[in-house]
Amino acid sequence: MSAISAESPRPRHPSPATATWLRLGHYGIAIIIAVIFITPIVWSILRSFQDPLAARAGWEGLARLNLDNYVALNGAGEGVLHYAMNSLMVALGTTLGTVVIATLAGYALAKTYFPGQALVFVALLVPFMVPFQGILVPLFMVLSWFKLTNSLLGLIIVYITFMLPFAVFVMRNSFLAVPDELEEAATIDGASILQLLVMVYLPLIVPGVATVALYAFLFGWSELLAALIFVTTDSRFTLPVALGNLQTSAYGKLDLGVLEAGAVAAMIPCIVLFIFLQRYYLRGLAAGAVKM
Amino acid sequence: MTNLTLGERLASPRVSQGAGVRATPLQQRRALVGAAFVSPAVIFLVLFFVLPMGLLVWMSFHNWPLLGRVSFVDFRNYEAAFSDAAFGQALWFTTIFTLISTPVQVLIGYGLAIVVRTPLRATGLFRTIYFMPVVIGTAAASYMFVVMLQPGTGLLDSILTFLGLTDGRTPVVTNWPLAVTVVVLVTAWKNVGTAMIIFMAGMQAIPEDLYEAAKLDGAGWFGREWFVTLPLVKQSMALVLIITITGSFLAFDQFWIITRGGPSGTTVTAVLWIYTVGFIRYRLGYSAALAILLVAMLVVASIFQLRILRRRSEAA
Repeated sequence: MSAISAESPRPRHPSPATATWLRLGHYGIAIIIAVIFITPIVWSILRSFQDPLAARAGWEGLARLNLDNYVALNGAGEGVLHYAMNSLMVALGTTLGTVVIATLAGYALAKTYFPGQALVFVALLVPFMVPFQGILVPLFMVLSWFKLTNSLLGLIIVYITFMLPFAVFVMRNSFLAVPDELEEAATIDGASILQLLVMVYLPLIVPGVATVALYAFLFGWSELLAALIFVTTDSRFTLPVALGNLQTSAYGKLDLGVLEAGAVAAMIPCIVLFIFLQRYYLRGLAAGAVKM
Repeated sequence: MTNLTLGERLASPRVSQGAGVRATPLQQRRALVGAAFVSPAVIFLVLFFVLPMGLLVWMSFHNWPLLGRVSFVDFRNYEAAFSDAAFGQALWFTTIFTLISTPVQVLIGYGLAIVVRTPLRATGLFRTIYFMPVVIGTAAASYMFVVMLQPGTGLLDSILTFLGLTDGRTPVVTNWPLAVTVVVLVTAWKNVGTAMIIFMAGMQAIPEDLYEAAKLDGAGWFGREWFVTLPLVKQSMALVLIITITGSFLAFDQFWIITRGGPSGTTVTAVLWIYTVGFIRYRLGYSAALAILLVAMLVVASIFQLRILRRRSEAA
């Protein structure tokens, strides 16, 4: 035995000094990449506080930060707060609708049995295979039949539909992970279906709900193409569409600082949400049900 | 069948004893609850997906202006599509963009995953920073880069001037290679976090023993990465490839905002062209035909993604 192990190559463990250097190198690389990744964000935030003169002043411009761009932004078109409110309403409406519809469907698919259930589940996943960019033209016609074009409600409905396959998938999995004994016990105790959902299941499926809500909110907040097509009145524009008008000078001569302020205003809520709810966002990714 | 759902178990007498046995009142009630709860989702699916899908096909065989008379044109929209130089150019450009953008994102995403997969004291922070661009929305990111790329005052020129590579006015969006390079990099910056997380999850699932065994066999770091890690993240690789390819093929925001399709229409993507035909020129029928061609190309990729996804959820 000992002869054999003496012949086999010893596993090479780096010496303590080498290990330290490796770790330092690892940190060094990680920090350099972090700087590269965060520079556009930091630069944009700083630039959004610079008027045209400060922007041209290089490093000295950093000493001249002011709120001019944000003031101007609030004077463009209906004002940034108005568009931000539109975006917020669309995002919240999408979130609420998606969560409620997907939770009900998830429960039905995981915890009940009805004829045709398997078929319904597959059918609900089908939209996942068709990129929504492909059906915007007929969707526009359908919305106009229901008098839902040029309305935030119409946009919310479209977004909910796009979110549903992912949301139903996540919620079904959440319900499947809850042991059946729980529901059996609660039913024997005489709980109604509503009590069952809210008091028994809700605490256990919160991670799934948070994941779905986060994706729905971020999608509703930042989607551009559908918002561009379905909403045509300036006062109903969402933030990404309104910024496009700012860029093409529809609200007067383009001032890049003001555009930057708008982009930062659109970005900050996403970053804040992500920092607090990161766990749930990454959970959705791990499920593999993402689109870019 | 040990994985019956609660509902299936309650309904099992009917399943096992054939259709002749009537369901108990409890089973009937539960079936009713299930059907009722799933119906809102089904209604949305039918009204805002199935109906538009059918209409998409129907419209593609018609000359369909926004206002005015709709007329049946047989396959002429499709014939027009195949001789439409602008659509051909858009598909060609979209393909080139996808071919450049995909390997860039896969390589960077893979590299980042290697950096963040080992738990160091600050790994969580690094992961958050690398991932942050993913959540800010392509539109917001694109507007930011419009300002950053501005000749003279933008960040790009500041960096290039600092490096001594320019006199301070780099006209990015009017120069095709430069414009494409920049959009590829912006897209990568914006999206690689997703690839990173998927790769990282795949790498962390590899048992440590395999690395120990490879070490005993005398494999160095590169050997272990090449012979152990790479083959074992195949599924993550497939997922990342599909997401990146479909995402690149559907690119719209970056080009609509940063290059606006220029210089002279050479960076118009497929979706941007379909949007232009449909909602700027209002040739809705023709736009529908183009959209069907695009969807047909992408459905195949998405079917693969769905298969991976179901396999994952079964494994979990």
